[in-house]
Amino acid sequence: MAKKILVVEDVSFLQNAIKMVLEDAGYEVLTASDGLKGLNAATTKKPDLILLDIMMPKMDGMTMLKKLRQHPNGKRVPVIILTNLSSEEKLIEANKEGVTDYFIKSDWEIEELPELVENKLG
Amino acid sequence: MDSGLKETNNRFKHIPAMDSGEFQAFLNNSDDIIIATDPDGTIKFANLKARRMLGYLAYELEDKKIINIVKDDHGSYAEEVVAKARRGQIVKDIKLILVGKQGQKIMVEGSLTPLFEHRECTSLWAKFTTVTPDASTDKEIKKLRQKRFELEALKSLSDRLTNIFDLREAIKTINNYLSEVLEYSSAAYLIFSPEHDDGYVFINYLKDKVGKKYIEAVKKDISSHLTNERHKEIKQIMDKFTDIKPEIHGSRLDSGSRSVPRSQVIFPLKLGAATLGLIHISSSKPNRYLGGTNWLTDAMVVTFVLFVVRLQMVLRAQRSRTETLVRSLSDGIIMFNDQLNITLMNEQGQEFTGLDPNLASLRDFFALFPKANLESKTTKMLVSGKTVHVDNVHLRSRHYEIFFTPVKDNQGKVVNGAIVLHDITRLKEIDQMKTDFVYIASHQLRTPLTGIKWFIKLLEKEIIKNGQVTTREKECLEQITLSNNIVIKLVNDLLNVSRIETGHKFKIEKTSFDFSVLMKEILKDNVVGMEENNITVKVKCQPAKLRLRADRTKVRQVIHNLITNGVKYSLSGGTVLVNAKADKKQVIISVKDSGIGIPKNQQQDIFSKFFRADNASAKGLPGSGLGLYMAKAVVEAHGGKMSFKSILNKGTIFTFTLPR
Repeated sequence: MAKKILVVEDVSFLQNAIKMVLEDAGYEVLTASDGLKGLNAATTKKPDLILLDIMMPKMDGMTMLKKLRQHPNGKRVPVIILTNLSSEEKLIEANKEGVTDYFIKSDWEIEELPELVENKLG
Repeated sequence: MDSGLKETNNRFKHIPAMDSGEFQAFLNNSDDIIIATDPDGTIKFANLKARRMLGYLAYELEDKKIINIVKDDHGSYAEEVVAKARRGQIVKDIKLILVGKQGQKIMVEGSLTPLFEHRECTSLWAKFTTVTPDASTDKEIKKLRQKRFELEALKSLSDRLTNIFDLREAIKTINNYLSEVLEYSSAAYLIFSPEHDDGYVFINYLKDKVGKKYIEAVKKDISSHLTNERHKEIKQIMDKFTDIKPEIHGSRLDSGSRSVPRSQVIFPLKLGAATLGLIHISSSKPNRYLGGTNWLTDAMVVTFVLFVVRLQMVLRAQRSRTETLVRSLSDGIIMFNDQLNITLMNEQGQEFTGLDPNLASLRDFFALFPKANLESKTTKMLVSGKTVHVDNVHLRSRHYEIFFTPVKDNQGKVVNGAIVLHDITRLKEIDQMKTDFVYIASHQLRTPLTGIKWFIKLLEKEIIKNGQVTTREKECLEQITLSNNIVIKLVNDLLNVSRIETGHKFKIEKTSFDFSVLMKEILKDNVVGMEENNITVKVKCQPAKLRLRADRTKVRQVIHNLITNGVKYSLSGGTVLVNAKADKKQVIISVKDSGIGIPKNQQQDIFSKFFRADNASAKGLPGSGLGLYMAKAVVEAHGGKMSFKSILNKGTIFTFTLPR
């Protein structure tokens, strides 16, 4: 059975690109465009891995993550942060909340994503 | 016996008296010069006086013409007179100069009378008396000439002063005038004037070479003249008079001279009851001014007084115009004198500084900006005589640019200073807005650029998936990728620059890391152009295990940047050398290339934002001109220094230090 990946990202075309590349790699992709919807999907759909953007309206990524970790369904799921921030401040903060890894959107290539996802799923 | 008389006898024999010896005696005894000629002026008879005065014997005069015995330039006049007489006119008031045998000149005046017989002119009789210049008339003439000369000099002085608006120039003019009417060794001018900062002008003009002793004596004389002065301001000045040094004009002080004034006269400059000052004239020779003052010097003094009053009025008007102008300016102005006392502060100045000009000193002003070290800037300005500029100081939540300007007198000497406070808060705000805008804009641009970058890759994959990618398609995609990468880099650079400028998010986060590991990472990054141009990058590190404590990401960027430049601007087959060494205080890292180098005249701009040297742009390779600006900012934020050496077409070496 294909692994379920939840992509929480507010910028639609970035969301599309990620969906495209992950589906090509054989994953099932769920999407949410803000933190609230993302939290909902994460706790109800139980994805195998979550790709989480930080800067989002309604509820940002860090807040969603905190809430997720408090939820019984969200304690263990691997979370990869999607960020544009090249400074590591927020990443260090995120680490404390149990971030599995991070992916810098502006610096890294899209084709590196499936490999990263596979690594973290294992 | 005169042969001439015989003839006369024959001529005038109709007049019985003429025949007699008594008549002859009468003519010869006469004290006048009597000469008889025929109608055309040929001399027929000259009496004893005539012959004696002219020094001729009778026969020598015979047949000479009147014109032969008169001065050359009187010749035509004599002819005229003879012609008139011949026509029947008795010519009176003749003034002539006769010339004797030895060339002696005899001034004569007299008359020429014709004698007629039967309406025909038979002879002309000249009767002359000698003229001696009247001694007393001469004196009168001389006196009148002198008076006229003096009046003309006075008028010329007065005319000249009308066009002069400078006290020193006026004094010069008066000195010239005095030289023509008086004999003097020194002329000292003491003029009280509130318009002048010290309240007076004291100038001692030396016509002759005199020494200290002389001018001290002049001062003493002036001082005793003014001891009774009641006016408060003048009294204040006179109290310090012994300390006051005059401006010396004219001759220099002769240190060897021991002469003292032997005659002196003072011309007080008064307007009604008010004392404007005085002029002290003295001479090293005695008894020069015994006559005291006369109408002439009095007239000169009055002229000068009127000039000074006029000048004061003009200066006052000018000053109040200037003051009005200064007060109304939107910049803060503080003026100070050579005692460093504040002489003027306009409203804006007061508002900016919060100082009260009546109470505050310049020191108080300097104390408002402790870090700016304004005292040394003021000194620099006063010493060099040039404007000094301070870029940006901060006071009470506003930003200022400060200018220190000298105020010079006619001779170019710095007498005062002015400080101008120019409010640049608005400019700084706008500058900040610009930076913020760049920050926000570049931040926002990243997202869509990421989108483009990703979709190019996905498109590429799709095309390849369908098999048969044409060369054209491949090339298009490559070019899009290339362009996009350039834009991404530029946006990243702009973002970094705006971070540096605002200090916003530009913080150095130090961690400890290994240099060689960092270098390995950097080199893995596939520096643009390394392969294509066959450039090798070599790394040398001493000690081999070199650890640094710095902001890893930022330092990585700096080194990456320098290597990129080294590769970009190198000639094919070249080498880029990275060298790192450490001492107790710091780590020194250098990146050397054998590339195109930086032209000497562009070297000073190399670290400027957006600057690219001409030879770099000419190479056609992309570059934002921000790399070195950022690199320098990062290094300096660490407390280090960045420098370079470059030779055109030989290569460049960039070196930077990071304190440990």
